[in-house]
Amino acid sequence: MESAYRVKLDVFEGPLDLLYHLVQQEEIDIWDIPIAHITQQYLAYLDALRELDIEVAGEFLVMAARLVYIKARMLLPEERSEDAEEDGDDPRLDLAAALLEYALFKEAAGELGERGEGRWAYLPRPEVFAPKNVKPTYDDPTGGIGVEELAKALARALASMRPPRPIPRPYNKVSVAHKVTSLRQLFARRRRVRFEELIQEQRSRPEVVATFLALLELVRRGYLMARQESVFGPIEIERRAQAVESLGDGEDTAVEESGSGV
Amino acid sequence: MSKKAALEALLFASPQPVTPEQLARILSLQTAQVRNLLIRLEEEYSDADRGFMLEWVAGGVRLCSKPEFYAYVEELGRTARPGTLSQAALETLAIIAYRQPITRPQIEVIRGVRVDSAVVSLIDRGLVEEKGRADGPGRPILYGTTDEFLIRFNLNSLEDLPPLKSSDASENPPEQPSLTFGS
Repeated sequence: MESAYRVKLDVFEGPLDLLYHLVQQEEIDIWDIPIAHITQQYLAYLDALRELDIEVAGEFLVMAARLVYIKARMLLPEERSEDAEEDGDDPRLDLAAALLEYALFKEAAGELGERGEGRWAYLPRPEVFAPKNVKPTYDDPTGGIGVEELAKALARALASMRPPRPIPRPYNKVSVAHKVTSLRQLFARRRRVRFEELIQEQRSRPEVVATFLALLELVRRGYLMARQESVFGPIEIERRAQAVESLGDGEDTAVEESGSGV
Repeated sequence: MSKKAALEALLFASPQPVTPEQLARILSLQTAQVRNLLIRLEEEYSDADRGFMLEWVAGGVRLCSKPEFYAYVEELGRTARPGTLSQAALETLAIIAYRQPITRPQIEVIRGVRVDSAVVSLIDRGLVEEKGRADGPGRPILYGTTDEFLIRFNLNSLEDLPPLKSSDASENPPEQPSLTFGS
């Protein structure tokens, strides 16, 4: 199915191309397009092309709307007010001008294409010696340096590269108590979260520290537990089936004090 | 020292077209003298026993192999034959060539479709390049053609572009003869 439509697409480069084709096919005076007839033909084409690429179809539809609009305007009696007499222009003029301009360049494109025909057979000398913007030198371009030296130089350069300076962020105080609350909320929704994921979500170093402390606190309280299935494997934080939180009572304040402003 | 031989050396060493002015400067000759020598070289190369030719293109001259030997040269691994330009790319190129510098939205008005990918492929082929930015909202990029475009289509300059003409006889609207399509 699709391939059949592709063929049509190749024929018409866009709505103007299609319209111009219709106008030529019917041998119509471009300045006096029988808009009702052409619109009907145009829409018939669109029907046939219904399953086109959405974007292209969109452009074709915009033109369809324009045609229908022109048709409607021509049906309506002209409203003649004294000052707007010039507005009574034929609504088809803009379209005709656009069609002609398009046709002009379609024609020019054809000529260019013919002009370029076979030009690839004229081969200049290759640019091996003189790449653009580089002064040609005919010495050994490496100056006797081998690949190993170059690789070492690269390694040195990389090692001496300064790490990018972090973008300064406004310093916000982060409280551990706050993180305890948000961790509880998170684990109320999800039973298990990977440790990395938890840390990666944090936007600053203080947040990471606070989160970590909150995590330790919740583990201590027996609300969460940390698991590692294999050595060096990912650490997973899991909410315990029956959260034992007896230990935690009364300790909240202590955490807040120690944790505020990490 | 033969100036003609020196000229030949310069042409041989330069894969890009060189202007007669440039050659004249290097050889300490008058441009007219260089032109005369170039014409003599051109005649010599046009001999059927010669495999390359002198070509006047993109405002300069260059040497290139004669097209009739392309099949052999290709065996060397010089596959210069580029994929043919699509109709969309060709139309977009024509608009840029005649209306440059031009912004993408202006091209799209004329073609009635989006031209993003056509412009990208023309840039990739080195036929079109950015020529600065237009004044106005968003400062859109202006596009124009390159020397490679002139070479590819065998033009000496943009003035060599054939005049735009419509195959349609009724180019002007009957009651609005002031409408023009040239730039």
